[in-house]
Amino acid sequence: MTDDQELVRRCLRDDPAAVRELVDRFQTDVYALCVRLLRHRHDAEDVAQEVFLRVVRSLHRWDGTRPLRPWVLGITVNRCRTAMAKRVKRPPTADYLADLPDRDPQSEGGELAAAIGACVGELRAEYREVFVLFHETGRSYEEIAEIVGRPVGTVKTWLHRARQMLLDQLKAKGLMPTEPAPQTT
Amino acid sequence: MNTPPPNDPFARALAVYSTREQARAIAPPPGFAARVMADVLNRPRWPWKAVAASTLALALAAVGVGYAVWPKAKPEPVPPQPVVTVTEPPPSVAPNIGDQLSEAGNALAKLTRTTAEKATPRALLPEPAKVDPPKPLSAEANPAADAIAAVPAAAKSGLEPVAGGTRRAINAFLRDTGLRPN
Repeated sequence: MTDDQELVRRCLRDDPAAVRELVDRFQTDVYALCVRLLRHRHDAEDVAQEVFLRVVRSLHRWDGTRPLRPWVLGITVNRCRTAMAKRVKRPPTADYLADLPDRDPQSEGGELAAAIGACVGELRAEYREVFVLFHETGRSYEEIAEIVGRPVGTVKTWLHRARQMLLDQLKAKGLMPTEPAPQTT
Repeated sequence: MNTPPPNDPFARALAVYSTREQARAIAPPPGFAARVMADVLNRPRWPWKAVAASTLALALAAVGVGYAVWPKAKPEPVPPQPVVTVTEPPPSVAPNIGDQLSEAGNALAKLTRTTAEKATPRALLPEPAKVDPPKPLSAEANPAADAIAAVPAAAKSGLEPVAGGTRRAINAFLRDTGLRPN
């Protein structure tokens, strides 16, 4: 029996120590992913709390043959997607709670990198998810596919489209040179 | 991530962004795990969806039980049906059409002959009671009396072709149909 299976078995027996161990094991990953996807620490804390509630209540549905971490992060992505959908319907929150990437325009490509970070929040939800998981958390295509519940090919396609949309936004802001018009003879 | 081309500023910026973001540590706020534990252990396990689903299930179960328990109109008892045993009739021998036609022809010929024999004198002669007994004819009248006396025999012989013709017609019909050999 793996460590994950043993932990889940203890949690299913309503062992508070096991639940606490589960929270301690995954809280950093869950909270960080919520912050990166929602770009808002307060919202991220609420959503992460909801994620753990869901995880504990749904442990009986976990497939013991698969690793536990992608399953937990999959629930995290789903809850963040729901929170982002709700956020569209409500007025924007105060800026001081927003969590934006550090700006370091002095480094090589720093200005463009900061612009990329500012544009990530404008991507579609599924594009933002794969972009954050790939570029900000450094996960592989297979891990991302496991988390979002899509084939690897779909993940690659979404990631390509996310980069293309970011590039288009940078060009629209004048931060990237547009290609010269093709010469016609 | 693939190594960006050196002359692609976007790829270089993306690499810088990835490196910087992956190095950025985002730690949960202090007391986060304790709040999560309190939430997990204290929040009721039956959210409103589960309560609604349970209520609906109970209502459906009550309807089902009521339908099963509700008295229903009993159907009329069906009287026992008598057992009917069908006995097949013995195989009948097919009647011989030739024999029947021959018999009918003979009967018709006999009837015609009998009718002719019985009807001819009555039809052609006056009633015996009304006819005066013949007087002795004179010598001059003998030929006429002989003629009158010969009337029944003549009538019989006159109708004889009718009976004979009928018999021959039936016999010819039977020969034509092959029911009677030549």
